[in-house]
Amino acid sequence: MQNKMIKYFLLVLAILIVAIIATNYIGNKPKNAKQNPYEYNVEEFKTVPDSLISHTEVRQVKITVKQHGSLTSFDNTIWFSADNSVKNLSLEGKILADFTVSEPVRAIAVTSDLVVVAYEKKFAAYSHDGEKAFESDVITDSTYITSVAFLNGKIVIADAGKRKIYIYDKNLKGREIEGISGAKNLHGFVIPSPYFDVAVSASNELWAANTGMHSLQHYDENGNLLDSWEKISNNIDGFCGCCNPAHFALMNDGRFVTSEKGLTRIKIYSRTGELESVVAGPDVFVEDGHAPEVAVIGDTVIALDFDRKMIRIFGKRESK
Amino acid sequence: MGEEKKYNRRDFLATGARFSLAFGVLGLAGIAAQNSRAGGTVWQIDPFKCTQCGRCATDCVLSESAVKCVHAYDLCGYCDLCGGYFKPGVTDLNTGAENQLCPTAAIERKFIEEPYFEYIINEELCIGCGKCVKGCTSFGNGSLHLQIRHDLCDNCNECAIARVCPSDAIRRVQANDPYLIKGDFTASEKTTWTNKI
Repeated sequence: MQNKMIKYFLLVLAILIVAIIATNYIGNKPKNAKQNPYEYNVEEFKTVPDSLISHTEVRQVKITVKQHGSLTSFDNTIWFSADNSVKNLSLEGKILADFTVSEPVRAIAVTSDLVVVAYEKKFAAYSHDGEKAFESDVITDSTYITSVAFLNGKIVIADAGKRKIYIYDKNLKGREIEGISGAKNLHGFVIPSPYFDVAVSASNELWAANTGMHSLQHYDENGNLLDSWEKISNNIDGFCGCCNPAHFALMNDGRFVTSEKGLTRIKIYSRTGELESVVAGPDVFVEDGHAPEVAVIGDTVIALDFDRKMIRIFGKRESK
Repeated sequence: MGEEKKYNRRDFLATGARFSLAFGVLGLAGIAAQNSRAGGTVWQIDPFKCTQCGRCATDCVLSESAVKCVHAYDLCGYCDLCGGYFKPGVTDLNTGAENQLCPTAAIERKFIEEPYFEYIINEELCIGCGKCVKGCTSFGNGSLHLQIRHDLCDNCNECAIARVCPSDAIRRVQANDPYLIKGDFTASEKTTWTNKI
């Protein structure tokens, strides 16, 4: 009788021990994490009023890319470059031209006869068929090129490493802009992270994103500041974080299409910096993803979504 | 003709025991030598895998977590609007307590020159919650990151935070190279700036 009692006791004890171990093992798993009491919450800034949304996604083009590339538009087509490849695509995603270059491409700009690709420390020009025209020397050892554009036949290079813009003529002679002209901008370009974009408008205005100042600035070829505007805010009408807008493009009428990191979103601003509409809000992109590079064809906005490995095309939404 | 010596069961067991003992002693000596040369291993956080879940602050067996925020100054943008220092949505960029993201005010903001500011971690106040790390990673360069401080860590056999880490960011590293500091350390196939672009 006593032996039987001991057996029952040991059996119950064993079951109890197994139950405690199992509960501890199952309950204390990463997937069963409690609410983080120190959560960094930006949910309230992710909501975009529907009335502000001006575009809807009309097409996605899958791409194969290892390193973040670049994208621009020319003659109603998309020019996309990443890794060592340059591709010309129609808005339907059909490949019109495709060639390889010698180094991974950081930025691209296209004119009627040239495709200029910027590598990390230098740049090169090719014909639309991929025939090499020329290649520059390394600009400086600490150069980190983030953007390229054309201004009156000259090549404009944004160098985030040196926090300068270079303007090269046909003989590859350069002139530097440090962004130090103008009473409000005595400290020059403030580029805390490797996002430093330049673009030239249809009316040949050179604009640069002074990201640390959350500002878009208009310079002449001599580096004189002609105009600027800035918006600092986590709210939808401003630029958030340390350094935004990460990328931008200019529409034919001079309005700005901006792309931000942190709270990833694409917006349209008037020429004087008033928010007009939102092309795509944070809910459309991967959380904490890369800021998509943007280009414009008419009212259509094209975004390079590196996180989802696709070119995303946003068409203007029909008004309700 | 001499008598042939028989190898009996007793001899077999005695020889086997001697060999086992010798192998055991040699094995232990080998392991000891290896540990002495390598200095053993300790737990550390891979900052490129860390997702700032907050569990380093809540699950460490020590009453004050051995995890602290460290700052890779060579990666910092010295921004005025620092995502690691200010709460989201702050409009006044000053050091008012209501503007600070850190729950223990463990970050000091120091003016360098217009428009640059330096951010210094007070490790005595830091609880390793990673809130600033999340802000810095999302909106800045990711120069703030979490590390296990080995002057505090008990180096448990099974690390309580490694067990619950949702991103498998905590692993054993060599004790003679115990920190994975951003800037010095870069994850494979990632470099500091290339990673951000």
